[in-house]
Amino acid sequence: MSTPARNISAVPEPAPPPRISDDEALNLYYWMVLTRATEERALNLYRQGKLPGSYYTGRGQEAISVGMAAPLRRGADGDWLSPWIRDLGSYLVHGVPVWRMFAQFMGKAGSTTRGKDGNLHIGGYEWNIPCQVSHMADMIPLTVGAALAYKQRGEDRVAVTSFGDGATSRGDFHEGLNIAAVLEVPAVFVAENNRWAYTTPISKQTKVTDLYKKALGYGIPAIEVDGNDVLAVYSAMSEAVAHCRAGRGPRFIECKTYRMAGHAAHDKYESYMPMELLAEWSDKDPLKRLEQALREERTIDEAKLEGIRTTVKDEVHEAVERADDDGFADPSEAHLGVFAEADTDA
Amino acid sequence: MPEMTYLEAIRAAMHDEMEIDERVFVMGEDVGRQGGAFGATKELQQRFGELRSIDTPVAESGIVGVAVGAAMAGQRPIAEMQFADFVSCAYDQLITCAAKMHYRIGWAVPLVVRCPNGGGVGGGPYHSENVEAWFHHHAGLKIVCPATATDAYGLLRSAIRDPNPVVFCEHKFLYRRVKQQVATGPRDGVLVPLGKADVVREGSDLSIITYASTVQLALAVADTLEQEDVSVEVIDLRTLVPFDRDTVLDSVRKTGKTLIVHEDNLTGGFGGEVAAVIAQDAFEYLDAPVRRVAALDTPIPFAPPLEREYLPLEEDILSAARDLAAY
Repeated sequence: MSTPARNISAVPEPAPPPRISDDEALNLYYWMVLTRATEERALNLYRQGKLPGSYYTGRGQEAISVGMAAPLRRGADGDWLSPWIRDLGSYLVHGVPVWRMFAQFMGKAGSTTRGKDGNLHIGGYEWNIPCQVSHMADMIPLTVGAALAYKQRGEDRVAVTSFGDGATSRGDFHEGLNIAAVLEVPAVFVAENNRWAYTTPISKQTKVTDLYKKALGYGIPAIEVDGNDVLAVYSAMSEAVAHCRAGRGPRFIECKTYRMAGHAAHDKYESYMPMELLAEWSDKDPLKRLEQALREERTIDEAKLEGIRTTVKDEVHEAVERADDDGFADPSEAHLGVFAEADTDA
Repeated sequence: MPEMTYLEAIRAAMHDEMEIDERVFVMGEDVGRQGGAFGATKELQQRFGELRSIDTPVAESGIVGVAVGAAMAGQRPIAEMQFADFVSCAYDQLITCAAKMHYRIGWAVPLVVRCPNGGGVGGGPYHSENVEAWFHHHAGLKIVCPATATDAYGLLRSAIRDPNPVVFCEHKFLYRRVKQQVATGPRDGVLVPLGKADVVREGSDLSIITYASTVQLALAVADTLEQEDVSVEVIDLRTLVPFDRDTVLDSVRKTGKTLIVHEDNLTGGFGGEVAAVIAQDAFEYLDAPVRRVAALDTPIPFAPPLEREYLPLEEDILSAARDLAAY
């Protein structure tokens, strides 16, 4: 069952979120299964030495990546979505084909960057997804800027970005949120409090471990939700987006969750992460919880869920094959694209 | 054609682009109601409203980051740094986000960051910096350094129209000291293309290659040396990125002697790159070593006698040019 969002700001209590239909819930299930299957497959490829560089997963955070993207409008004329490194699901939901994710990890020509950047540094004008950078919190001011553009043109679009607890320590978090509040732009900030920034626990990151309280300090209405409950994230996000579209300024959603793996695949997290905490959060696995809710509260037939899982399995298999067959960009492309010739040649 | 100062030309360029393109807007500290610390955006808010002339919090990284996002979302922002020095706070946004976005995903970032640059105004170490070399090393940013009112106007209009991030280094010392008749107007104002150096004075014995505040000094030196029967060619680079190699190399191949002058400090300054290009591509034409005149490799001191010691002055350029002519 979805946990209601707790509103702790000075703004009026929001109307109760509309009930999520079974079809919507199943759609969220599909995306979450696809997200996990894609990540598990990519991790295997990494371990087989088939992915250059490193590999980062968002295991345990799929409810956030899917739930925050699902209420958004897709396409070049849709909503701006700038997810961070744990949000593979956001890219899928917002329109990036699965095979291009694998092509990206492999550095192939079919990647959204044509092999010029790796991992989840994915983006493209056609999806209105800017390409994230490694520097934490940099995408926050950019997202405020996109929201400003929509406000200037009187469009009812929103700009959304996500980040982890570590990013809240950087200056661009402060500058971005402050400007968003002052300019009253339609931006939604999604903080994923997964308790870890690489090896640093949140207790060493900040004294204010409830991140939504930071947003309140900037005058931005903020809530916290159970980040392992996709229905809760989806509801909170739908409400925040509606608030923005109505011209009522920025919103902030803190999703409480837990990082169920290392910072990256090479990270020996067992050496610093308390195993009992990991076990505790393992029981709150977002995918297991959604399956349970679908079966027990919505009495959805197991065969239906199995059907979705089979579809996803095939989809991922085909995606890996297609990415495998894809070639690398010609080395001469390394020279190209430093400057644009026209406004949009994406 | 109205006579206007370099500063008025900058304001006119923004005004004229805002008249014909509603995507263009200005943002920065005190740019709105006040019209900026120097008045470069004066009355733009009154004319175009608060959504197109935006007073922002004191947050240079935020300002540039917001401008990058707005540019990607289809606007054409002009972000003002109150002083060029403060762009150090926005360095990350410029090189991490603005400069690399198009290379990675082919998504253009049509952005201008205006940087009131340079010394000679008693600004001290934090209000006098020349910042062009900070960005020159990094691929993906255009760098513009106008020396005249007409160029300030025409280059700024081109920079606003350019689909790339442009660091626009306007020199504060020139703001009110340089005046010129400038062809302005939303539809028929002059445009000066990025990447085309200006041969501001032709000569045959020696080339002075320079930009921004030192162009006037180089011209004065050329006048003096003319009376000594030395014919000096003066090249105003106008833009450092793109760099007009051909105009520079043509001049050096003609004169055989090169003096590179800039107000920025010597080490790691743009002059080093110019010298390297000449050494590689015009070596056989050289009749003398390539010389550079630039500021001291120190922070910029405040007190007028100290600041004069720091800056490259007309007499420094004259002395180096005489030596070179006699070589």
